[in-house]
Order: sequence, then structure tokens, then C-alpha cells
Amino acid sequence: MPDLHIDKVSFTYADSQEPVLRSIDVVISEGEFVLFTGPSGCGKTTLALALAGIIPSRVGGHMQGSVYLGTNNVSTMHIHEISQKIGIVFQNPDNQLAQLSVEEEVAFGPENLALPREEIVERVQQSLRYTGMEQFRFEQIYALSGGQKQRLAISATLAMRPSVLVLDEPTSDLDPVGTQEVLNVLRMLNKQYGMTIVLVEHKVDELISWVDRVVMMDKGRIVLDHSPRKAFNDIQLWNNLGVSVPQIVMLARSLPDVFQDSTPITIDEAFEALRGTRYAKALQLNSQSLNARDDLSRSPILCWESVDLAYGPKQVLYDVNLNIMPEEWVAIIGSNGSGKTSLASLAMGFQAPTRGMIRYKDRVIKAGNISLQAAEMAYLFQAADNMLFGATVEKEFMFGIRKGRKGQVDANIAQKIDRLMKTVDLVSYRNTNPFHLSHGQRKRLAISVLLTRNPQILILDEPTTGQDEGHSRAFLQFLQFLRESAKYSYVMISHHMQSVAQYASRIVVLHNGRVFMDGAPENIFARRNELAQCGILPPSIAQLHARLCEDKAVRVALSVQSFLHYLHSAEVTS
Amino acid sequence: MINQFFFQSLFGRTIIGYLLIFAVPALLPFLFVKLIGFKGLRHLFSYEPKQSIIHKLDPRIKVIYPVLMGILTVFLNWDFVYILVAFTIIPWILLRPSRDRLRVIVTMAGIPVIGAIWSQALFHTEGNSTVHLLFVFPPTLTWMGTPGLSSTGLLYGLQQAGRTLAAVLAALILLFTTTPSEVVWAFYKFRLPAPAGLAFSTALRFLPQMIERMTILLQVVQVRGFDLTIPRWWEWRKWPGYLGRVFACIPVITIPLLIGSLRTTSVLAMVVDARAFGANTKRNTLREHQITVADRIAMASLIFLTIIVAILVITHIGNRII
Repeated sequence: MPDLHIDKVSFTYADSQEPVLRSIDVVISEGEFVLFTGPSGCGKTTLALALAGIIPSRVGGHMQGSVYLGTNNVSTMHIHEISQKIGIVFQNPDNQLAQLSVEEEVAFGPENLALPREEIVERVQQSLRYTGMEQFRFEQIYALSGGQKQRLAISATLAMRPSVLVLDEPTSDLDPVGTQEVLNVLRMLNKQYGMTIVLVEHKVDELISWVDRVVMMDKGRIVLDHSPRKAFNDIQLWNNLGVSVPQIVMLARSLPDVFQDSTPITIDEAFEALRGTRYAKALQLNSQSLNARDDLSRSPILCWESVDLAYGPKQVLYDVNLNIMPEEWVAIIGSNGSGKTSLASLAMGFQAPTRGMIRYKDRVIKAGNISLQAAEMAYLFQAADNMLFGATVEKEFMFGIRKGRKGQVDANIAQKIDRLMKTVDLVSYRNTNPFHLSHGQRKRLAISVLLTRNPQILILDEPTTGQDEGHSRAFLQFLQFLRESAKYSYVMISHHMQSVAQYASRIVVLHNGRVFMDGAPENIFARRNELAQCGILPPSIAQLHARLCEDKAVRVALSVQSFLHYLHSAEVTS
Repeated sequence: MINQFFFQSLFGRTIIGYLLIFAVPALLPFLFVKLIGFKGLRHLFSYEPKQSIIHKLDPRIKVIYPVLMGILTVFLNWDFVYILVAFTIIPWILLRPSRDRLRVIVTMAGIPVIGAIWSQALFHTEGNSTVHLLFVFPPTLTWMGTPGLSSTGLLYGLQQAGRTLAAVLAALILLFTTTPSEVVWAFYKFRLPAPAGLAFSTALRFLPQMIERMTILLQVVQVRGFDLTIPRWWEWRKWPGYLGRVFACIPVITIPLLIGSLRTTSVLAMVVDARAFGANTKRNTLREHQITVADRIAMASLIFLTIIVAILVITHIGNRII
């Protein structure tokens, strides 16, 4: 397999003046596993499209330079020729599967190449074997999970027999279980079959131990290109770009007496270095007390009482009893299909439970009365862009007010809108089209328009999906600021455990439609073996803490700072 | 007394007249929502996997079938059209669709039929002198431009409905039992442009996703305060406002729906290009359909039916009188 050479590639989209890629020059050796990362808008997705030949053949714009695979100039080849050398897998598996059954999807490419039937059969079998999907060969695609669908998309790409696989954020729409499934497949393709993998991803923490090389981009340029261990020599660069540094690396920098100049990139490495040290003993001493629960004498603001939910014969929720207290930030976690979104949708009145009831304060929530419910409870959908309908930011605020129920509008709504615009820092964009705002601004606008109706409680469905670490952090800090200033309660559905660990005051784990665990994050993340049953991986630092305490810790650190705090407070005590 | 009020007095006859004009058309969307609902929309035209004889039939026969039935119904007069309708029920008996799908079929076939019959009953005024009116509209309803509800119209509507019914029942067989790759294969074998087959089958493949997206958008507008709560039937004062909001909502959700669909389509177009679709004039398939006994019987039945119809038309026994 030849090397992949990105030779001084620059690209400017047809509707833009600014180049997205600026003279990118990289050589990727055969059999390498390379991670491209960087803040949103840095050009990494554009680079992925250029690698796969979709730029310039299918996307309008001006391209300079070329991509070479060995001596073949990819940028001048037909797309069907390129796809037999370089395959591309996109973010959302549902958008890239055109057929109904697994076998038909994988066979689609070889059929179009008019290959002999025996070869089509052989390619289908081999591609499905590579991704561990053989047992699903005769299944219908709709019956697959998100992770399985993405593995199928990889299989269909592999059926074209490329030697390089380019993946553009293939796990961003997947739950932790699906993410692990896809990453395992990529590792196997790389290590076992020697395939070159170019992966564009934000999830550095989960990937760093698997890749051979990390390339970081910013404003269309490559700003870092190193092996994983050397990639963190300049942590300031990562922080400046808002790309998170793995917790284990941060810990190593904070404990130079243990790690010296080495950079551990796996939990195992950090565990080996810390095991038996005074730090491990200090942790064991200081990890035995449970966190105090909230004052349970207060009245809950939202309750699910003996709630069952079924879609026809399929039971989704079983006897759920759950109370949300005022000003709590409750994270609901669990694998896909565990019932998280169904639970939240019942509270908003999107559907009725098959048994039991949901109460907001003293009022029973009636299914179907969504706009009535919206006066007291807001729901931030995963795709915030779907929540914007106005021609300008100001009209966006007026949307619900003009069309909403009478009697729910404040007399001094104009002042309120001004105040909200100031809060979300959009005053200067009053007459701007919402879709001309940045992604973070649109997200802030989507939540602030919901606040015009004075809700007490906000349901946040995957609020950080598809955003890089910097934008996710900024948005969550904004939510924290809102909560502290206006005393909101949050119910957040999330797969991002680091965000959950950092911001939630309580975690509810759903498993197969039942409340499996309920407690403070420090205590919940200490039970990593039970969480593994639900397909949940605690943040790396929490896993390390639990392992160093031989899984006897009752509470664990959720951040590097709190891990260090545990160490130092134990030292002070002793 | 009541009889006299409703059938003799101008006021009573006006009430009956309005009911006849509006009750049935108003009932149709209500029936549609009740029988199918928003969630049912996603199954409206989607493939239902099953191991039936109909599923295993040669896809080419299933592509020809609705086209042929559509053509045959045009030539036949109405009593023979209903024999054709009876013929289109046979595949459904062999298919044994699930209850959910049965509800979709009955709704999709039944609602246009009721609509056709009723509209003809009201407005079919051909040969006015022979029109037999079941109910004569009072002078207060002259603005409708029709003398009343006619039995001739009902009969004519029934004839027209037979044609719709046969075509719909045949088309749904294709949609419910043929996968996108089979449609593409059939188009390729007929030397029709394969991209047309892919466009047709992909549209059907993504319809459930589009309906899912529409459901979410409807939830979003309500979360944003747009009141779409259906008033109770006795809350008549709220109905005009509700209907106004429903109509105002249509453009609001259409734009994001279209944008979302176009984004999906653009990714799919890139994927299909990358899978070399259309790159070669020739194409092969994983599975070559082997002609089975069932295919031969189905094909023979269609040929036999076509010959019978041709004879009926040529001999002026069953041809349509225009």
C-alpha cells in the first residue's frame, strides 16, 4: 500500500473569500493510524473530503495542490476510482445507508462495479467479517443499533476495497457502547489488516492510546504533528485552541515526582506508575465517605410516579419513580434505548405514559398540551438548529410570543427580551439572520428564546453533541451561569461523561427502562463495574481513582483538580 | 314533527344540506388521522419485510403490475372494473399484511374512494334531465351550484372509485413488498435509467425519516409556545384560532424540513457516487432473480387478464362508454 501525500493543498469554498485549508502538506505512511483534531471550523472535515476526492469533484470551490496516493493524483481521478483506493465514512450512519438490508447495502458498491457475482459475494462476506457484522447479514438496517449501523457503513466502504479509510467524526452521533464498537473495528482494521486509517475526531481522550500520530489543525493550517506521547509537550497550545487534553496527561504534568518526564496516555500506564505509592494510599484513606444528599424535605419540582411506557408490545420504561428537586442539575445517562429520551418526553407532554403519572409541582402533566407545558418547562432539542424559525434574532424571540397562548406573555416582554439578549451576548446581532451566527451563538439563542416563557425547569437533550471540547465547555459554563443567576433546575440527557462529572449535581442511570442508580456523581462513578453493565465508562480520572482504591472507594475524583485535592487533603489529615 | 322540520321547512333542509355537503369531506381527514395518525405516516409507503410469495416474486412483475392495472382500468366499464378490483385483492390475501399495514391499506384505498363517490354524488350533473335527486338542496344552497345529492352521481362516483381503487391496491403491492435494490435491478433490466429507480426507491427509503423529522419539528414549535393543542369539539370558539395556527405552522416547519432533507440528500449523493453508482453502463447483482413457478403463474395471470380485457373491449362487451 502506497503512502498518502497531501501536497500543499489549499481550498476555498465557492461562497467564501477565506480559504478553509491553507497549504496543507502532510505525508501519511501506509498502515498508519492518524488522528486529525482541532477546534470546530479548523478545516479538518474539508481535509477529509479532499482526501476522499469529494473535493474538488463534488463540492464547489477553488483548490490548489493535490492529494497523491503513491503516484496517483487523487484530485484528478473520478470519484468511483478514488473510492476503490480511499474510502470515506461520514458522521451520521442513517444518512449514508441507501438500502434496506445489511447484505444489499454492502453489495451495492461491488454491484455498481459490475463485478462477477462470486466476487460480490466474497466482498460482502469479507467486509462484514472485518467489522464483526456477519451475524447481521440478513437483517434489516432499521433493526440495527447506531454502532451497528456505523459498522455497516464501514463495511459498505470496505467492499470497494480501499487501502485507506477516512472517517469524519464517525462516533459523534453514537452512545458510548456504539463508540467503542466502532473504535474497536478501526483498531482491528489497522493492527490486524494493516489498513491506513485517517480519523477526524474531537474525542482525543478516548482515542489517544490507539493512534500512531496526532495532527492538530487550526484555521486551515497544521499546528501540531507528533506521536501521541509528544503531542502534549505544549499543553498551552491545546488549551489555547480549546481542545481538551486527556485527564491522564494532565495528571502526569501535575505529579512530576511520579511521572518525571514520561507522558502516560492510558489509564493502565498511570495506574502502574501510581500503584503502591503514597498517593495511592492517601486516596484509599480519603475515599470512603458518601456525599451528602440534597435536603429531601423540600418539595420536588418534577416527579415521575410509577411510570410505565410501552410502544405497542415493546416496553420502554418500567415503574419509574423519580423526583427532581428545585435547582438540581440532574444528568440522565445510559446506553441508547435505555429510555432516557422517552422519560424526558413524558415530562414535556409529547406522549402519555401507559401507567402512572408525571407531576409538575402539584399539577398532573397532560399529554398533548405541550405549549401549556412550555410556559413552565423548556426543552432544548439535540439539534438546536431545528429550533430556530425567525428571519432575525429579534423575530426569533417574538416567535413564540406572537403565536403562543394568550395570558402567558409578560407585560414588559420587550425589556425581558433585551435582558435575555444581553445575557446571551447577542445584542449586537439583533437584526442578524440566526443562521449567520456561529454554532455556539445559535445554541445560546435557542436556549434564550425558550427562557422568554419563564420556565422553572429545563430539559437538555444532548446539549453538547457535535461540538468540540472548547465550544461544549463554553456552552455548559453558560448553562451553569444561567442556573446560578436564575435558579433553574436542569434535567440533562448526555453521553459525555466528562461534562456530566463536571456539571451535574446528581446522576440517574437508566438501564433497560429502569432506574438502575441514582446519586451524587462522585459516588455513582465510583461503581465502574456496575456502570460497565450499562455500557457507561466513567471519566478516565474517576476510573484511575477507583482502580487505585481496588474498587473499594465509595467516592472518586471527577477532575484532575479534585484528584489532587484528594491526595493533598489526605496528606494533611495524616 | 322532526321529520317535518328537517324535510319540509327551509331551515331544516338547509341544515341537512350543509351536513351533506361538509360532513363527509370533514370526516375524511378525521378518518385519516384516526386510522393512521402521525406515527402511522412513517409506514405509509415503506417496505414491510416478510417471507411471502409476493415478496419473492420477480421485481419486474411488481413494477409492471400497477402500470398495467392503471391502463386496463381506463378501458373497462365500471362493472368490469370491479372484477379487476377483485383481482387486485388476490395478492393481498397471499401477502397477509400486518394489522398496522392493513389499516394503512384500508385508509389509503378507502379515503379517496369515499371522497370520489361523495364529490360525484354532489357535482355529477351530466344529463341533468335524468338526474335522480335523493335530496334536493333548498334555495339557500344555490350558491353551491348543484341541485342536490343525486343517485346518478353516487353511481358514477362508484364507477370512478373502482379505477382509483384498482390502481392504488396494485401500487401499494409494489411499495410494500419490493426493496430499493430490487427496484433498481428491475429498472436496469427494463433498460430504464437506473438513477430513476434509485431516486424512486431512495425517496421511499427516507420517507419515514422525513416524517420522524416532521414530528420533531411539530414538537419544537409547540415547545417554542406555538399552541397546537386540539380544542374539544364543543369549544367552537377556539376552532378558528386553532385552524389558523395550523395553517400558519405549515410554512414554519416546511423550511427546516426541506433544509434537513437536502442536507441528508447531499451526504447520500456523495456516498452513492463513492459506491460507483452510474459509473459503469453495466451492472451486476448479488442475487440474480431466478424465475420461479410463482413468477410464471403471476406473469401468466397478468397476460391472461390483459387478453381478456382486450377481448372485452374489442367486442364492446366491457368497454368504457365515453
